[in-house]
Amino acid sequence: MSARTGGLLSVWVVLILIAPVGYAQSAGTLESPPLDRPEVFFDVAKPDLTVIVPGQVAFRHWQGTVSTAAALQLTKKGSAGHAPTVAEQYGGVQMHLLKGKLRVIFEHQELLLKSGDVASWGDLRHRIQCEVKECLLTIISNPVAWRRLGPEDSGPVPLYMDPDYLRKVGAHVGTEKQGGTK
Amino acid sequence: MLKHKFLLGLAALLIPTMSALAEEGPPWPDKGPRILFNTNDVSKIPEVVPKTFYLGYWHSPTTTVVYNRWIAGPKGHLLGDESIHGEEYGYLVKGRLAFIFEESRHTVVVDAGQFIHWPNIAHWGTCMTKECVLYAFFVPTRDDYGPEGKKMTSKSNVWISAEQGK
Repeated sequence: MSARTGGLLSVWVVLILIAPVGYAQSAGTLESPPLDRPEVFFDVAKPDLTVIVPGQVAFRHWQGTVSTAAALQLTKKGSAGHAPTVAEQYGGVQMHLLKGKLRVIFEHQELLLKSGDVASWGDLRHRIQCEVKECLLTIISNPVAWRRLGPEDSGPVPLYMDPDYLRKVGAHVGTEKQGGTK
Repeated sequence: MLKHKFLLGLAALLIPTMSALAEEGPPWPDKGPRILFNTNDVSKIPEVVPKTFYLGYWHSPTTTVVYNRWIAGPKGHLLGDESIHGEEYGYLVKGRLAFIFEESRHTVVVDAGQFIHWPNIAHWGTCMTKECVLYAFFVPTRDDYGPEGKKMTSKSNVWISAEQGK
């Protein structure tokens, strides 16, 4: 075997060994928490969400093995209205509107969800806007939105919420909650 | 000689990739943002077993969303086999449902309005009231159901196949 053919074979061997590892990492499963049992996450009768902005925003999320679930409650607060939202893109989404009327705004399309609607879309940038006094929704994202939301007790900025607004109103999120710098 | 080794290397790289794709099942198309169904309306769920079991399903490239309805017949509810098909979420719209996880010895009773999750573990379930309506979400896709819009039969749902075959 010549040095040249031996070198080419080595390149193929390295490629074959690396490809499956790279695929597994891109699937986002390596950092997922080990789960081995069923759990009731949420009860619409008593949502038990974390209050982010009193009277305006409540949120909670749960990390699965290959997907993430979240619940978000938006309430219009007097003259302040709804808390401002920002565009997000965090994977494929299944959204279930449990209460209210919600507009989902994509670059080239809008969906207007009414109470009970289940909607689906791929990894697209989008924003939401609650069209009535109160909206309550669940979100399931695949693959796992681990990097965006972190562990379940990390107090992340809730999906869709404007972080500048949350800072302005003194919401306890992210490092503010953990570091106590507020 | 060099050409043969190159082709051999190319085959060694492609065969595992192709077999991995085959294991992932058919590539259901991305149909863009869409409203699938409304959990307040059970009238549009396709009937699978007359007057007993109804099921509608929608695929994305990586997930399947299912809308189920069970109604007790003269012999009670349709029972299915224990099955395992990936990570699953369920939101019970109506009724009371028990999910049984025999290996981990867990039984979880879910009431209307509750949202449950379990990882890729074997389970079976039974409706404990006259009627149950459940919205479920699967990762990965339920390829055993076949393409969207295809009428479900006993052969295209592994959960009901054994019961229907009797």
